Amino acid sequence: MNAEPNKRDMWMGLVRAELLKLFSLPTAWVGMVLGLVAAPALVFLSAGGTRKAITEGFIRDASDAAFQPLGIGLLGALILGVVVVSSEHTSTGEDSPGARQLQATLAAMPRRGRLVVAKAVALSLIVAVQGVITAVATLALSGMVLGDLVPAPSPGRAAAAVLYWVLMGLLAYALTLIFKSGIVTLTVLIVNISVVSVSYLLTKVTPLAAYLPDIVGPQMFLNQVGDVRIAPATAGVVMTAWVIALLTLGGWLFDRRDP
Amino acid sequence: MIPAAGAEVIKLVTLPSIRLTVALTWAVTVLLGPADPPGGVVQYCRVGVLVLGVLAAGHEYPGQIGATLLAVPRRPLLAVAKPVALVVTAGPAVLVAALLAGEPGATGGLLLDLLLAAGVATVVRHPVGATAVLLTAYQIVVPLIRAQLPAVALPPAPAWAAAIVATAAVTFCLRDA
Repeated sequence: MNAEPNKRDMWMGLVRAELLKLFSLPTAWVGMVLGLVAAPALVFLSAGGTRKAITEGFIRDASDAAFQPLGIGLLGALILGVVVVSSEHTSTGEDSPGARQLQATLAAMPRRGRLVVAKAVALSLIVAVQGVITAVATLALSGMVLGDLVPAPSPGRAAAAVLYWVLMGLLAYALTLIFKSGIVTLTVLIVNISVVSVSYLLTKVTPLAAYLPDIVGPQMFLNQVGDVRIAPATAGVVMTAWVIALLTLGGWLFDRRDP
Repeated sequence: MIPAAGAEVIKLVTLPSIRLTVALTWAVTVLLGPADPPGGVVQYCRVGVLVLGVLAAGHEYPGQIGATLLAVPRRPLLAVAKPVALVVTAGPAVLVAALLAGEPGATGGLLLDLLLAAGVATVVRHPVGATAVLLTAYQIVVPLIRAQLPAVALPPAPAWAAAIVATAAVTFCLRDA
C-alpha cells in the first residue's frame, strides 16, 4: 500500500491553497485591480504628450509608444509578489500579536521548499492572467487613442511584456523572502521604476548597470531604454537568470530561518 | 499630554526598524550625493522620510494599538501626542538628512511629508499597504501628472499634509482599534 498521496494532487492542493489565500487578502485585490487599471489609465493620461513626442521625433521608435504604459502598470504585479510573503508575516489577530500566519502555514505544509515553489506558481498564474488582460486592453486602447501614429503591435512583443510582468512579480517575491519585509522591497522596486531610478543613475557611472533587472527587463519588449541597447532575447535570459538566482537565495534563506 | 507624548517618543526611539530607516536614509543621501542626480538628492531623502513616517505610525497595527489605548484611553489626546512625538523624535534626523543632501531649506517640506506619511499609515492601518500607496503617489502619479498635464494645479504641500493629518486624527478617534 502506498500511503503517500498522489504527487500531482499534492501540488494541485498546495497551489490551490496559496491561490485561495491570495484571493482572500484585501491588499492582494489592491494589487490585482491596480495592475489592471494603471496601464490603460496611463494611455489616456499620456495620450497628448505621447502624440506630441512622436510627431516631434522625441520618441525615435514609435512602436515603443504603445508598450511604454505597460512598464508602469506592473506595479500591481510587484504588490502581488510582495503580499504573497508579507501577508504571512503579519500577526493573526489582536489577541495574539506574537503569532504569525506563517506558523499556521508551516504547520500545514512543513516542507518549506515545496511551499516556496507553490507560492511562486500561484503568483505566476495570477500575474500572467493579469498581464495578458492588461496587455491586450492597453495595446487596443493605444491603437484607438494614437491611431496611425503607432504601428500595429506584434504579438511576440506583447507576450514578452507579459513575461516581464511575471518575472518582476517573482523578483518582488524573491526580494521579500530575502528581506522578510514588504516595505523594503516596495521601496526599492517602486523607486527604480519611477523617474528617479537609482539603477538608471548607476548606468551613468558604469555601463554594466544596464544589466540590473529593472533596466534589462524592459528591453524584452521596448527598443529604446536608456543608452545601452540589449537584444530582447538576451534581456530575457539575463532577467530570468536574476530571478532564478534571487529566488534560490530567498528560498534557501526561508528554509533556514525561524518563521 | 507630556507623559503621553513622552511614552510615544520612547516607543519611537527604541524601534530598530526606525533606527535602520534613518541610517539607510542618511547613507543613501551621502552615497548618491557625488552622482549628482537630476532633481537633487532630496528626492531620495524623501523616500526614506516617507517610509519613516509609515513605520512610526503603522508599527502598532495590527495588535499593539490595543495595549496603547489601554494605557492612554483618551483618543484625542493620543491623536495629538503621536504627531508631536514624531516631530520631536524624527525632526533632528530629518534635519541631518537635509543637511547631508546639501539643502537645509528642504527640512520643512520633508517634515510635512513625514506627517503626511504618518497620517496615511494611520488611516490605512497596514504598513505595507501604506508604503505602496505613498510611494506610488509620490514617485509615479504626481510626477506623471506634472509631466503630462502641466495645466492641472496641484494643491500645495501644506494643504495636503494638513488635510491628511486631520483625516487621520478624526478616523483614529472614531474607529474601532
